[in-house]
Amino acid sequence: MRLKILVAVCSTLLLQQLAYAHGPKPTSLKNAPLPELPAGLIDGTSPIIVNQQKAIILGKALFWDIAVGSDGIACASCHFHAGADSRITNQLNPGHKNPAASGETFEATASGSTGGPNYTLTHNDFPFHQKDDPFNNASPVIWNTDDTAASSGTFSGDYNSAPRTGDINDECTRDPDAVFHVNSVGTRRVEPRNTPTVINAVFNHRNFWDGRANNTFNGSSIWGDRDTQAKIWVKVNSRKVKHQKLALINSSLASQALAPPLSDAEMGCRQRTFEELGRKLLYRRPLDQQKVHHQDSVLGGLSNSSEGNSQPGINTTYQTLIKQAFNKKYWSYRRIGPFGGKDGELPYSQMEANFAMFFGLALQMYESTLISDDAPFDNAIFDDKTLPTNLGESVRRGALAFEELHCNACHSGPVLTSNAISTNAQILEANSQAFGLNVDQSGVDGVAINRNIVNYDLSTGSRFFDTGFANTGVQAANTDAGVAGTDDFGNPLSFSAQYAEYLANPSYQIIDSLAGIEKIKSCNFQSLFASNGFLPPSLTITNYFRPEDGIIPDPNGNSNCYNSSSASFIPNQTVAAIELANPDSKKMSFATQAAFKVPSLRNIELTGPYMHNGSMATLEEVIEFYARGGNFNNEFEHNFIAQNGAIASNTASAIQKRADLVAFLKSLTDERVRYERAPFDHPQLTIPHGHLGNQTEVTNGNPLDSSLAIDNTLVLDAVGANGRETPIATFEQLLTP
Amino acid sequence: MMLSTTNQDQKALTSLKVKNFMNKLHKFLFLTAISSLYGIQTAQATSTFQSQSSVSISIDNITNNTNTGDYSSLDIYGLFEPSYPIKIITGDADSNKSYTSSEIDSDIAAVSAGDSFNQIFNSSGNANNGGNVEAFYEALGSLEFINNSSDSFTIEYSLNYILNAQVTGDHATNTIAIGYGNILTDINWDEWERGDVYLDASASTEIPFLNDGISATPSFSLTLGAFESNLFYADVSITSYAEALAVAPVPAPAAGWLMLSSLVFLRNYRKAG
Repeated sequence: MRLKILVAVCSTLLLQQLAYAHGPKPTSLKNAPLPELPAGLIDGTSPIIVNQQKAIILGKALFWDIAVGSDGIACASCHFHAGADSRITNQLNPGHKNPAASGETFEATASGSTGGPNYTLTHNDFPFHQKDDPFNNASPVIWNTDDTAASSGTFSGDYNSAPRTGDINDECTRDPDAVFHVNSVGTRRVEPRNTPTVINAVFNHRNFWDGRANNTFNGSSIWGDRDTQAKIWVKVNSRKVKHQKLALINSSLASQALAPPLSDAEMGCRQRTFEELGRKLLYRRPLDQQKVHHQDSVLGGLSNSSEGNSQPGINTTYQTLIKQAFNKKYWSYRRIGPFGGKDGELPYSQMEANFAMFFGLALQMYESTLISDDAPFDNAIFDDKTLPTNLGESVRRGALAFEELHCNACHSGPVLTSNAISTNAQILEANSQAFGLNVDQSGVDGVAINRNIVNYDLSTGSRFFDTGFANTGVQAANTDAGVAGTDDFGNPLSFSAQYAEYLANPSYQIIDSLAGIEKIKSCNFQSLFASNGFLPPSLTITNYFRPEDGIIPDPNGNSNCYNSSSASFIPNQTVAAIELANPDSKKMSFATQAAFKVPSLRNIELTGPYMHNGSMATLEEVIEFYARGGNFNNEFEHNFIAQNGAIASNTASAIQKRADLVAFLKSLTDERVRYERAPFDHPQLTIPHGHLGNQTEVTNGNPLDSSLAIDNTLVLDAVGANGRETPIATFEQLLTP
Repeated sequence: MMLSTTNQDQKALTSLKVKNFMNKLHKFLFLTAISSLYGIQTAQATSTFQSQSSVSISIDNITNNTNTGDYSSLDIYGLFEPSYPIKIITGDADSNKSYTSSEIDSDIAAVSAGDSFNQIFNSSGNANNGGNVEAFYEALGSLEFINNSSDSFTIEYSLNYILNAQVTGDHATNTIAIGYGNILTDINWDEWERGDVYLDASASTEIPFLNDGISATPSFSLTLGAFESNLFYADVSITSYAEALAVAPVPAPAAGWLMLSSLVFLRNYRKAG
């Protein structure tokens, strides 16, 4: 019997190694399933959304309308370029996520400039961390900054009120910001993290770099179940309305949408609310100051434009679109009083009180149409090794190198991110070999098919980490907590922390109650967590729970398991509690610190700058970063982030392999995105892009307040379904030398 | 028969068209001259809203299904009552706004077959020269049925409503809505949408084609079991908002020039004619 167990465990470990060598293969995104829609959203006897097309129209209008922000910032102002932000002026943040003092101060740039507000980035400013030998992370650091390249947004201010017609700017008390100013003149504030693309974001289980956009949408905040006060108003009849909870799974996009309009770094003045935003917008004509192309794929039918005569706005109001898109029980209660209000003003209506829900779900419906699945790689012919045969030798070699170098361990599945939990699982449920290996041969696939939202991996030193999040050592681990951060209520963002607490504490109430933490299967962890088997001395895995420690069978079983049944165990609660309380624990520790969402690589050619801190300008810099094994070795870093001799040199072979990887990445660019063809077409948009002047002097006299700098602007023309004639540029092309 | 035109006809037709055009131009220029004078005097803008509605509830027929002709154990009360708060008015200083609305008769009336009762709901308001006014106005209409016996009753009744909403000026919105349905008052009020109907007439200066003017006469039949009670409601609410820009007058020289040039052209044209 012992021999059988030994054979089983050894076989498992050998298979693990095999899997590490190959793992899931990149595949076409065409026909990939979207995350399952939550029950009751569009189905059932009384769905929330009664007209999906109207909801998409509403979402697109809201996404692109500059009236949504407090001072002319639309959602699209930071997501206008392949779904991301390619602006180069006034995009620096001092590193606000860094708790150290340097997080509040701007630093000089690598090119020798003073940097700071209203600075125009140049090619020589990148990357933000430079080694003497770019292929050796042990070589001396010749440049480092905790400043980040992100997106400039609002001047912000203290919110007072908002006009319901005409002027799009809120009435706020505005003064020059304490951090964002040049001399004494206020400049627009800048986000602390790089703007990720909204294209294909629907596949993400959680959004934002730290995953705080909850998978569950509660209708009134980004926090899902965590926000116990979050409720929506539901009409019972003409004389009764009730306040009830909403919990829509797979709706991280809706959760995400509720953050920027109230953020004083992105779009809003402080103390702004969604009720006030609703009051501002409801009777307005959408996009009233922005031209809408007569062939806009979504808005064209309502536009005032015709061929050769482009006009602003669409022929409806936001209120009308809400009535058309949403079930009347969320807006038709006419009485006022239960919904609160401001002194001296009419109390809010039900439609205003539920505006956050309409806003979030409409944005989600629109962004769910922004699926980029028509890149050359999506249409390639694949050989029996699942490598593309008709995209050129370099792309083929690059796809192979992508596997050999283990990029696919995190950038897995057709979306090229393990964060696409639902989609990856659905694909593997239909075909357990869809990614090349069977689910019991590939740890990544095993995690994916069981929707294990937490993993435990030897490659992180036997630590828990959230599936779809990884520490790659871009910055020092204490610079930005990432998914190890907390929410507004002091709770951990990570699922890993919740799972560990769940094992250790019988009375623990899981914070994200619908996330599936109680369904996690230990047998699918990529490293042994608890086992009733034993390991030969030649294998050095020691940090797992053994029978003598006190283990119990995992109640979630071992179906579709990557590890053998001998690994389908968990520590009993007493043991788990002791281990969790041990600060030096080697069995229940975490690799969530400075771990960030694994981004999709689709259209990556167009979405620079890269990384959560925007610290790299080109794909070549990114490949260099991985070649040298990251910037900052740290205990939480994923083990695959290690210097790789195959690409970490200037030998002809390494140069070729790096070029092949870039070629493969460029084969992921969808020409519809490059040319802004439907569904990526858009209305006209004027975006603040720095201020009149430079980083040492700006001109005051902004119409919002004379103490603020005058905006320079970037104007995007309205584009119809057929797209633009010229391609959009890469971030590198937009940078000055 | 086929119609044809000669060259002469064409010339006459062309001449007629020119005359018609000049007549129209003449009128246009005259109006332009007058309106340019108006421009000189425009010192402020006004936005207005108006709502008119009429709601009537009628008992059409009552049948005692258990003891024919005996209605003694059935009580029916008809009522229009002001909601609380019936109206809320906010806005700028009084000098820049006004608002009026009709009063609600809140007497309870016992009704029987063939009776009807009705209510007129009117409201109007305006904002001037930078002011704004916002108002909410609501009245609750109801027909309550109380069966004090073990008999069963079938009651047929109907609702008649007309809703109108208009706006003018810089920016105004106006929505008049009716919600009606039935509530089993002796069970609970928690069931969603027991026949609840919502309709509104709305107008907005932003969008000219919003629906205005709706009317209907829906009829209903209700069977009231032993000792049951039921309430039919027909509530009307009006939410209005008006905001007027503070408009600077048209510069007198420009307006005057426009008027003068128009009049000179008219004089010359008449002389030439």
